Amino acid sequence: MAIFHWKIQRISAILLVPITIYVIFYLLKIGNLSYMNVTNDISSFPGIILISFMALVLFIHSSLGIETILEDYIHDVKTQSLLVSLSKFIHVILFLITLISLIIIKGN
Amino acid sequence: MNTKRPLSPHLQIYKPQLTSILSITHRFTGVILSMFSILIPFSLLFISFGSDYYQLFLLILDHIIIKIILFGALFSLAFHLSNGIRHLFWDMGLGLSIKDSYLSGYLVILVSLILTLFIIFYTLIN
Repeated sequence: MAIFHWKIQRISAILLVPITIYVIFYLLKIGNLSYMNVTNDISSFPGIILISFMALVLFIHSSLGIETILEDYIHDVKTQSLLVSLSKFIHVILFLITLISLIIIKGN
Repeated sequence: MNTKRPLSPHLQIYKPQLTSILSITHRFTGVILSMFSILIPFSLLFISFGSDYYQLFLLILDHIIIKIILFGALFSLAFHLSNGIRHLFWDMGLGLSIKDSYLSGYLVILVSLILTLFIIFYTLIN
């Protein structure tokens, strides 16, 4: 299980490198784009695939990282497992809000 | 199981060194970025509400205090990204010597500062 955790953390990290760089470059020019430009980019086929994929990988990476930190610094077993579950729950919710927002933008 | 046993890393008894400082900063920036990741679903939700909300969103982003906070998040991102790449090289067994670790450590600081300052400069002139 630990080795699985370790592998997923590395794979998600590798995937996030190009995605993060692309998103930074996109956000840098967002000030020059109209609302229509932005929503068209987001709701385009590659836009939806990229954002859903990015959100999935990012929230997995974030969730695993927070889990590792909680395991290292929270010594009480009950509190630790409670916080890990809470963190996982929040990450799932954030991913779902991302997907729902994409669906609304696509529907507009 | 004895839950009171000491757990590593024992930060209190460590003499600060570049390598340990970068290691804890990697964790710290990771937590900061996890917090800021909330911005992704919520900015998309804002955009989904319509053009007026999007304009309001841009207006909020233009506020000087928000900008300073976001530049801090940006440094966290630049650092976590470049130090993360350093970690990936280590995972492949590359650059593990003390000398290489220090060299790549200084490189990470340099690259993350340059990247942050470049983006701050770019957004301020636009």
